[in-house]
Amino acid sequence: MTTRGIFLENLDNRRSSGHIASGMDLICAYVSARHYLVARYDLHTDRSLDFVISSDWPFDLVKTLGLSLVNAHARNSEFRRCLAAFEPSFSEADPAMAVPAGVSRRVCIVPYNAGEARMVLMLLFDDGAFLSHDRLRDVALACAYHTAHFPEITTRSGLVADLTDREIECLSWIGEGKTSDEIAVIIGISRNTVNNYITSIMNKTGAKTRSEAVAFAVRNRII
Amino acid sequence: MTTSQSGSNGKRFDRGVVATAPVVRATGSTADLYPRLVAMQRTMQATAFAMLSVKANTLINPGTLTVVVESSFSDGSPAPAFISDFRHKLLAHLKALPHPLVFTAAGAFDLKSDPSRIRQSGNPHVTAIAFPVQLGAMGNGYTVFFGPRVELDPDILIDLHRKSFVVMREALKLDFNSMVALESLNDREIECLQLVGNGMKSEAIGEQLHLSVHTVNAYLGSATTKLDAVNRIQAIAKAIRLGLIG
Repeated sequence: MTTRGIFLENLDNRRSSGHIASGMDLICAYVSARHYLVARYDLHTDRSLDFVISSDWPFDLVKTLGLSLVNAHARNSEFRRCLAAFEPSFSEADPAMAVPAGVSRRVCIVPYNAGEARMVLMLLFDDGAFLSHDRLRDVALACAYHTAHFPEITTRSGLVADLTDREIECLSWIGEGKTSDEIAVIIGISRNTVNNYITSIMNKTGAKTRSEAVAFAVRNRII
Repeated sequence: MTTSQSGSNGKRFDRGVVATAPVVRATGSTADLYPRLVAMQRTMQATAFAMLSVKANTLINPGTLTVVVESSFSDGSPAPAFISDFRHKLLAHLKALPHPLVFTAAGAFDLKSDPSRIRQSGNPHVTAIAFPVQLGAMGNGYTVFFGPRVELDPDILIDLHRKSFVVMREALKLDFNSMVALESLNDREIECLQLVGNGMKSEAIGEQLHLSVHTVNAYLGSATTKLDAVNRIQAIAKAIRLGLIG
């Protein structure tokens, strides 16, 4: 078996490979996992699978098991998510979901953070495979180091980047409970300009009310 | 043994913190983190340690760095000077990268850009090493070890980094524990806040929950008071950050 030091050095050598997938084979081998899935749960929606960054799971399994587990994690309260970060846990796949022959239904879930991104690594094992919790904990950090070499994965989503600094500034103050008049005084622009920014924010985020716009911004950690 | 805590316990997070579901609570104080950190300090053969907590760090709230626990000294703590020298570096790095930060007489560098540098530089030049921990909206900071004298190979580094996460998680549970005494929101208040956060107006919420609009507003008002917010928008922001609503 590879020692931890060698595993980390080998993984680090894959940094210039251009894609996160190169390196995931080392991570799988280190913990004797059969298949991996890496997702950004902070970008997850029910409508698309864009939040899945890299995976060698069968596509059907990504759509069913992957989606449901990411959903469950994203629905947790922030406090629970903070306690769960970098801590491997296990979950049982629903009997209705077809896993490949010889693969265990116990999925290992490793939430981790890399830069702005809130990520989750999910591993599938062979039936009866020996699981080392110690190595799984190594992998939580090693995977974070590895992910950080790919800034295109860890930077904010396109939608979020669309807000200008001034808009984010206004939104931040609204989130602190300030009114348009107060914000105008704070940043030294007219109240109408503030209101224009807010209208623009609501258009960009698709929010119907200021409350929804603030909720969106907090959920996406813009403010 | 001395431990310095950042302000009074209740102020470590926003006041008015409340919980909906029972969560595993730790009992004790930050002094309980001390033995773990001492063990890490021994592994590093370091002269001193400090655990730092990072708060805020958003566009309009520049982050704050406070010492949660530190080792005892006969001749003054190195932490305040370290924080004032490297405050910006520490805050920016925490948001950007998970890799440990190494401090030498020549300046700070992270182990992402050049992991081999730490060996070439030789340990006598390493003045401190900081392990960033970013658990999420809360539980962020560093464990810092001053003057490490062991060879810093990847094996030791990941081991100490893992332990840094354990310590930060413990600290977060302690923080949460100190919030217990505060008043908690009831189900109706949480339900109304959630619906407002989803973009509904009081009238629509009243219809959906079969309540009058005045009752809805009363729930939102009491939720706002309990969260120590000035209006419902700030209450929503606080409730999401605390994980009370999604």
